[in-house]
Parts: sequence; C-alpha cells; structure tokens
Amino acid sequence: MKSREKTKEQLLEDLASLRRKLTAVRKAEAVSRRREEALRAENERLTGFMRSATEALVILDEELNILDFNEIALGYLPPGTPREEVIGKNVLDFVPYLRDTPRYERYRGIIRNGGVYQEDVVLFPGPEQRYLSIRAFRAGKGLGIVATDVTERKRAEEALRESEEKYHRLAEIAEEGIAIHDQGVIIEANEALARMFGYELSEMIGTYAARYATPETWELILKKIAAGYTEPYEGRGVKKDGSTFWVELRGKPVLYKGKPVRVTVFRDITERKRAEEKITRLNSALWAIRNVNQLLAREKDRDALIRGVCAKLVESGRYRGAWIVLMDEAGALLGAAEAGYPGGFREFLESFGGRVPPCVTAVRHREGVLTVSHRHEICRLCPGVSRWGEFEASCVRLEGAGRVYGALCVYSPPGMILDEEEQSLLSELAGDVALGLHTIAVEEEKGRAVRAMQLADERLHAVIEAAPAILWALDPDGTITFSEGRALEALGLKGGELVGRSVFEVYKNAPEAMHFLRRALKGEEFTAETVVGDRVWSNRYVPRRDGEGNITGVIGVSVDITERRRAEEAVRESEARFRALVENSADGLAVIRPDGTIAYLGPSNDRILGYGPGENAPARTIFDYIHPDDHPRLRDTFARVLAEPGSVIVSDYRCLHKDGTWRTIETTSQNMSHIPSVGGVVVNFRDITERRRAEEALRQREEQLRMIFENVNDVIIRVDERGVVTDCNRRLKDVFGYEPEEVIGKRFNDFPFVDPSFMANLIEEFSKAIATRRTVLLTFEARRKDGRPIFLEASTSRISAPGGGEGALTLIRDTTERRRAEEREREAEKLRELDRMRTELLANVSHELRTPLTTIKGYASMLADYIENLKPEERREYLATIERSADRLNELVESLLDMSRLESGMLRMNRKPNDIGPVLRQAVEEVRVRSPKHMFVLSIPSDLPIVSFDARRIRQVVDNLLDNAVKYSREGTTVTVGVSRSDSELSVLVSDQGIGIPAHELERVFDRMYRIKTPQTARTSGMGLGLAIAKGIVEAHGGRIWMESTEGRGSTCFFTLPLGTEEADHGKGNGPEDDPHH
Amino acid sequence: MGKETDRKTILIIEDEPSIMTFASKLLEIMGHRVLRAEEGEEGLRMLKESRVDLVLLDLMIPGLDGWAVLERMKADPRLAMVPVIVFTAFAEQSKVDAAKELGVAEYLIKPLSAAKLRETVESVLARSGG
Repeated sequence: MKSREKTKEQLLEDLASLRRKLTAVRKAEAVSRRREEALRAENERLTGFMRSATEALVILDEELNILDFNEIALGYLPPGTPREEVIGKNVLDFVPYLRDTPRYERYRGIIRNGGVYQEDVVLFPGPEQRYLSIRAFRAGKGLGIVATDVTERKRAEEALRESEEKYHRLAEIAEEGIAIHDQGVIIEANEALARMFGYELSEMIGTYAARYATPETWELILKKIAAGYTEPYEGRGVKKDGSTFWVELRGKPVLYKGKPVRVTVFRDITERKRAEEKITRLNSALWAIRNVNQLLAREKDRDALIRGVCAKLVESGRYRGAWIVLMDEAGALLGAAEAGYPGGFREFLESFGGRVPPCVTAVRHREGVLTVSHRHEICRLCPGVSRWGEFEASCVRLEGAGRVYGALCVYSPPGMILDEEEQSLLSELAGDVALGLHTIAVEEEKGRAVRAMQLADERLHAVIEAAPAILWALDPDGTITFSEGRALEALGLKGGELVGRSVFEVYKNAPEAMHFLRRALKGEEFTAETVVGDRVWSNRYVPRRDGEGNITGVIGVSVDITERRRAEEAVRESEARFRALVENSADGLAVIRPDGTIAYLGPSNDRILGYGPGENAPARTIFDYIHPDDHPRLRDTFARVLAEPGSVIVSDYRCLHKDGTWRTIETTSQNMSHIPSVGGVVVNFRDITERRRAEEALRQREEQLRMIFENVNDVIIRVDERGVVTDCNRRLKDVFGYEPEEVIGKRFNDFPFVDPSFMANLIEEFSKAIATRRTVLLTFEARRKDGRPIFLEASTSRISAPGGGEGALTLIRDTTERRRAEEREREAEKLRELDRMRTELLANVSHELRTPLTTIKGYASMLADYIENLKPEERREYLATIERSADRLNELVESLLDMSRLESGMLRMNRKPNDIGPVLRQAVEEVRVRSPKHMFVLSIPSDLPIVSFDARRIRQVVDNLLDNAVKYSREGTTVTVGVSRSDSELSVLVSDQGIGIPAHELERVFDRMYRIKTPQTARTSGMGLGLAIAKGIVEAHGGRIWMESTEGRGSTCFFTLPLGTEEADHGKGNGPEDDPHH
Repeated sequence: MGKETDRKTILIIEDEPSIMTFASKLLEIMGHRVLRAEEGEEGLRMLKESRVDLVLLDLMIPGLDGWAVLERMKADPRLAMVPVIVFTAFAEQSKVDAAKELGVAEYLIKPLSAAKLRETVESVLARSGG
C-alpha cells in the first residue's frame, strides 16, 4: 500500500502542480494549447483515477478550499448534494467544528511543512456510525486526504475485543473450570479450574492437560476432539492430591486472541452425581407428593384424604408403608389411615385405648422429621415389626395453621435413611397434609359458621318478623333508607315499601312523630311514645355519626305496644272491677297469703258463715275455718293453687257455721300472687249445702231413672240434636244384639241394623219429632246383629239433652212377636173369613136350592090338598110354576156340578169351529124376553172369523154375563153386547149401566164365593158361582176374562177367545160330560 | 071354610114370589086376611099400620133381614106380643135357639108342605088366644 500511496501522492502532487500551472497558464493566457490539452487529459486521467478509487479522496488547497473530490467522498455529504456546490467551498463550511479540533492545526501544519497525519475518526456517531481512517498529506500546495472506511474492520476488532473480554469475564466468574489449550497445552485457565483440581492457577498454565485426567478419560478426550464432538461427556479428573472425581467436559475449537485453539469447560459433577442419585430418589418422593397434593386439592373428606395420602405414598414405590394418625387438641385419637400393612394396624391403635401411639406423641412437639427404626424403643409395638421385621421409619407431625393435627410416618427398607432433602420433602408434605386437614376443618368450621349465621340470620329475621316492631333507618335529610318488621302490617305496609320516601311525608299526619324525628335528626338519642295508625308505639331514636361527629342518619326501633297498653289498661280495669266485685259480691271473697294466713276477708263472708258484722271469730288461717277431716285435702289443693298461678281450682270443704252446723262451702281459688294489688290466692266461696242436697236428690232420682232406663222392656235411645246417640239402655242387646257401646257416639244414620233405604224415612221422622213437639210413632223393619229380621215400633219425642241443647228420646219396642201374632191372627181371620164365606155360600146354596124346592113342595101340596079351592087357571099356574121351579133347581144343580168340576179340573170343553155371532144373538134374544124392561144393543161385525169353541159353554158364559148385567142395572138402562177381533183373539164384551163395582173388587168378582153385597142386590138370587164358572170356561179355552167398571156408571165384562186352527181340547180330550140341554 | 070370627090378619114377609103366592093362597083358603111384604122395612111398616095377628117371616129377605125384624119387633112393645112364625132354609139348631130367644113362636124349615104350614099357623094362632 505504501507504494501505491506513494504513487498516489506523487500523482496528486503532480496534479496539484499541474493545476497551478494550468491556472497560471490560464492567467497568462499564453499557454500553449497542447500543454493545456495535455494537462486536461492528464487531469481527466487523474480525475478518472480519482473517480475509480475505492477510497474517498479530497484535494484541498492551502486555504482548505475543496478543489476536487471523488464520488466516494461525495457519499459522505448529505445525499443529493451536487458537486458544483461543493467545489470551491471551504471545508469548514461542511465541518464547522473542525476549526476547534487539533486536527485542524495538524492539517495546516502539514500544508506548511509537509508530513503525514493519520488518524481514525468516527462519522455519524450513533448506531449508524462509521469508522474512517483518514490520512492527510501535502498535495502540491494544498492538502490531500485519503479516507478509508474501516467500519467493518473496526466492528470486527471490537467484537473480538468484546468477545475476548466476555470470555475472560465468564471464565473468571464461572464455576466451571475453563481451560483454553492448544495442542494439549493449557494456555489459559480460570480460577475455578484451578480450584477444581486443587492447584494454583499459575501452576496449571503451560502444563500438559493430560496431567489432569485419568488415562481413560484422556483417551476419551482425544477421541472426542478427533470426532469433533462438542456435546458434554463425563470423565474422571485427577486432582493435585491424586484423588479422582467425576467431571463433565465439553470442548470445542475457538479463536482465542486470533488463534484457533480449543476451549474445554469442566464441571465437577461429583455433587451432581450425588444429586442425580438423590433426584432419582426424590423423584419418587416428589411423584408421591405431587399426587398427594392433587389429592389435597380435591379431597374434602378427612378420612378419604388421609387414606389417599398413605396410599399415594406407598404407590410411589418409594416407601413400603405409611400411616397417618389424627388426634385432637387433647391428644386423643381422632382417626387414622394406613397403607402397606396387611393388618394389625387397627389393633395396634386400639391397644392405646383411645390415645395416640407414642410415636405420634414423640413428634407432636418436634419440628422436623424423627427418624426411628425397628430398633427404636417407641417402635417396638409397631405392626411394621411384625410385617417387615427390620425397617427405617421417618415420622413427622402434621402441623399447619398453628395446630398439630396428628402425625405421618413412612417406612423405608433398612439402611435407607431419608436424607435431608427427602426429610424436608416429607416435612413439606406433612405440612401440606396438615394444611389440607386444616382447610377441611376450616371448611367445616366455615360451613358450620355459615349455617350458624344462616340460622342466626333466620332467627333474626324471624325475630324481626315476629316482633311487633319496625326497624328503620333514615339518612340525614329524613329519607327512609330501611324499614322492615312485622309491625308494618299494622300500618298496612310491607317491608321496604317506605324506602326512598321522606319520613316527613309519610308521617305528615302525625305531628308528634315528626317532632321526635326532627329531634333525632338533630342528633338527640332518646325513647318516646307516639300514636300512629291508631297503634301505640314505643320508639327508640339513635342518631348515627361519622368520624367527625356529623350526623349520617338515624336508626331506630319502633315497637308496637298497643297490645301491651291495652293489656295494662285491661289490668287496671280488671283491678277496678275486682275491687267492685269484692265490695259487692254476694259470694264470700278472701285473699289468702301463700303461708295460709288470711290477708283479706270480704264482707259477705260473715253472712255465709252466720256471723254478724264484727262477730267473726278471730280465725287466722283458712284451716281454722275448715273441718279437720278436710284439712289434708285443703293442704293439697292449696299447694296446687300456689304451684299453678293463673289456673282456677274448684274445691269444697265443710265449714263451721255459727249455729254449729257444718256447711258445705264451695271454693274457687286462683293464684294471683303475681298481681301486685292482690298479692295472694283469691278465693271465692259460697254455701252449697242446699245445692248439695238438691244434687244428691237429683242423683238419686237419676239413679231411679237409670234403673227404669235399664230395666224397661223397650230399648231406649237418647239422641242429641245432631243425631248422635248419647245414651242407650241394655235392652239394645236383647232386641238388636248390639252392645250399647257399639252405638253410643255414633250417628243415627250409621246404625247398622236399619235398612239404608228405610233409614232416610226414619231420619225424616225423627227430625220431625225433634222439630215439632209431638211424639212420632213409626213402625219399621230392621236386622239384628245376627241377621235375623225383626219388626219394631218406635216412638220418638223431643227432650232436652242433658247439658243443654235439644235431643230426642226414642223408645223402641220389638213387635216381631206381636206382628207374628197379628199375622197369625190375620191368617186366622182370613181362614175364618173363608169359613164364613163358605158357610155363607152353603147357606146361599142351601137357600137357593130350597127356594125352588119350597115352591115345588108348596104348590104340589096345595094341589094335593086344596085343589078344590083353586081355580083352574090357578091350578095351571101352579103346575107351570112347579115345572119352572124344577128347571131352576136343575140349573142350580148344574151350576154346582160345574163348580165342582171346575175345582177338580174336570171341566171339559167341547170345542168345535163355531161362529160366535149366532150364539150372541140367541143369548140376547132370550134375555130380552126375560128382562123386557132393559134395552139391549148387539154389535156384531160381519167378518168375524170362525173360532174353535164350545158353543154351549160359551153360551153359558154369555148368559151369565147378561144375567149379571140385567141383575145389577136398573130397568130402562142399556145392556150392550159387542164383539171385536185382533190378530190373535176374539173379544166379546157385555156392558151394563148399573151400579158398577168398586175398583178393589174387580178381580174378586171372579172368586167363586163372591157376591157383591149391597142392599139392592141382596134380594137377587144366585149363588155367585156364575162368574167363577165363566172364568173357568173362558180360561179353559185359553182366553182371558176380566171386568172393568166405574162405580155408579156401569160395568163391562170382557172375555177373549184365542183365534187359531181347529184344535182339540186342552187336556185329555172330551170328557164324559153330558149335555142335558141339547 | 073359615069362620068369620077366626079370620085373622096375617102378614107374610117373603121375597120369593112363588112362595108368597103359595103361602098367601093357603092362608086365604084358611080364611085369613093376608098382608104381603117383600122386605123387612115394608113389613115393619105394615105391622105398625095395621093390627096383625101373626107374622110369617122369611129370614132371608133383602134390606132389613129377618133377624133385624125380629129384634125390632121385640124392642117395640106394641109389636112384641105379635106371634111370629119364621121359615127359612137355615136348619141349624143355633139359629132355632136364637129365634126362640127373640120370641119366635115357631121355626119352619123350607121346603114345607101346605099341610105343615097350615098346622103350624093354626097352632100358633090357638096359642096366642083366639
């Protein structure tokens, strides 16, 4: 570079001189053009050279004006600066401060004297700074500057310096031993290395590194270096004293002070090795602890927690067994858990009878871990002994938040004693467990506290709610901020309803209240009574103040004392009344002190016991008045009265009257000792001697009544107004089979022996009895308890119930027998009736038969004896009559025979197809002759079917009906005969306008012994068999016969004959009856 | 054939016409005067209106029956002495006794012959004096 620089200098000098020359030439203007050209060319060459230089070049004249510079130099000016503005300017225009620098003088020196000045400067100080190496030299008359940008170089140099420095620093402070070595020789090392190996640092520098390693390690090192291995590896180092130790090496090539060397870092890993081993050990412990902590975090149950902790400790694999024992503050066993024992732990604990084992006691007051083993005295009884024989154990107390909760113990194999770290971990664990227990306890406590608080809150609320009070608070301007309390109801408000309103607005109608409130708001604390909402209130006003004594509001309690006032009023009134009573009472009044002495005797007392005023014997105590035999009872009663204040006790005793008789005195005692104005037991008494007698008489009377009640033949039931049986006599059992107890207290409706359908009627009747004052008689049927039906007659009347109210008394008589007797009687009566009827029938028949007989006999005897007295027409008449009578007799006999046949079922019908029309017509014709005074109407439709019937018999029926019609209707009335048909039958009717038949007899007319008995018909002949026979005949045809009638208007008899094909008779074909008429 | 002095007034109370005819014819032949009644009331009326020497009473008559007539007659002092012959179909002894109690002179059972009737009438009339 020097040669180049020199050349450059030379050139620059030449350039400068050329320039001068050029300038001179120019000035002279006589320079030859060639020289000018050459000079220009030269100039250009130089300029070009300048331009192409890599360094900044500046040419200045002796005044330091800038003559020329290259692009590079321009680069140091603000960008965009044009060359023209720079050329010719003084350097001080760009760098004004240059003048003050020594540099300036040096430059001027160089200009004057030549020489070179080189220096390094910094441009653009700051992060963009650039380093320039500037060489200034004389160029011609001026100055030439060559500036080289050495920034990068500078930076690198600095970096290296820094690095070296850092390196040094690190090396010094490192605990690691650092050796810088080259070809195996230590050229640099730090103190740490020297200490590590036990040498002085100076002893090591320059020595061969192999000295400090075991042969195996050195071989390893060489291998590693050769392999370019830069990762750490382990080896054994050799100390000065010859001992070896584990060391970790890490080496790599570096540049140290510009030289490629190796640096190796050494670490004494003895401890680390130990620590590693410990870590392995502790890892398990930590794993256990981590799990335990997880457990602590989530387990809320005490027992589960300690169980879990023991389990986790054993699970970790680190410990053979673990237990936790909990105790209370007194040292009594609270709980325990274990893991790793197959059994025996429980018994072990129980053997201490509720106290904790000695190991727990041993650690209770001990910080830190207690290490024990199977050899230790306090472990003799431990189940670990039977389990493992030999063991190491570490116990630590569970202490946290100022309390010892118990102890934890872990067992390890013999010889494995926990080191400090592990002990410490164990302690920490124990602490955590204790805290966990504490937390649980706290939670429980909190829970309890919360519950207690809730309870207290509820109670408070209840109190507030129950108390007839209002709690309220006002802010300083009287706005209500709080109002709660049950008493608000009395004002028709709800809790909180008034909040936000001004108390002056709320109570604007209670000036007194407002006055008090104002006083309170001014800061006065007091109690006062007000009347608001017609209730009386006792109010306590308590102003609140802040720290400076300003009123921040008023709080208060208003208690509704209306009731209390009223009670007080009532007491006052009662006292007054009492006094009045005392003075005016007819009953005796006394006040007895608790010791039995008489505090007060009312004026009536004297009257009752016969003393005149002032004549009262000077008795002191109540006992003096009362018969000695009654004293024990009196003592008892008095004691009771004293024991039960407020209760009223009635009793009676014999008292001596002045006249010497013993009167029965009834006392009503009430203990009013608590009432100040009374101060003792108040006793009202009256003479009940008479009353007693009356009661006795009444009682006897009742006895008698009861006797009657029980022994009367009827069942007597007493019912109250609700229908509940209040009393019943024993006859109930006899009649109904129920015990009185089964019905007493029951409602009448519930009686089991009356048919429910009848019950309604029964109840109605009974209600009637109770409502009216009449006795109501009922007959009804019921069932006994055994189910047997019975007939009863009950008579119910209204009575007063004992003790007031209305009721009914019912006497019930078992009429079953009577009914039966009545029925038998009725049956007998019926039979007698039948007998009578039969007798009557016989008489009738007899009469009927005898009449024609009499006629026959009479006329015949007349003809026999008195024929000469008779006229010929009389004779003829008599004979005709005889014949008629004989016929009549025959008829009667036939009727009787028919009846007999009917009864024996031998009434045979001779049924043939017949036309009913002619039968009816003939019958009517003949009856018309017999009864000319009657009108007869015959109504026969033309299309009557042929029906199968016995013409003679049916004619008999029709004759009978017509005879009856005529017999039972007056002359001149009409008898109608009609026929009609339906699908199944022929209907014939015979109707008259006679007297009719009562409705209840319409069926009985067909009875064979039946005859209507009326005065009008008594004279008619006939045996009454006709209709019965008619019925038999019609029914033998399969038809029906019946009577319809309206009394007084007439009767109609209907009979039907079934249509049907010609068929044989019922029964067994034609009988052997003859038909004497045809 | 009857004597004027034996002519009596006899009341027949009988509802059966043929028997009435026979009895009254016979009595007339006997020379008596016959009063006829078909029923009890009528008979009693006639008894009260006329002087009757004998009553012939059928017990089975409509309206007031024979027994009632007897009782009424017995109750009435004017009629109590009039002899009564009852004739009836009833044959029981109890009835006979009862009739006798009521002062019936004779009790005839139907049927009866003219001879019997005459005999009885004469007997009773004779007993009652003239």
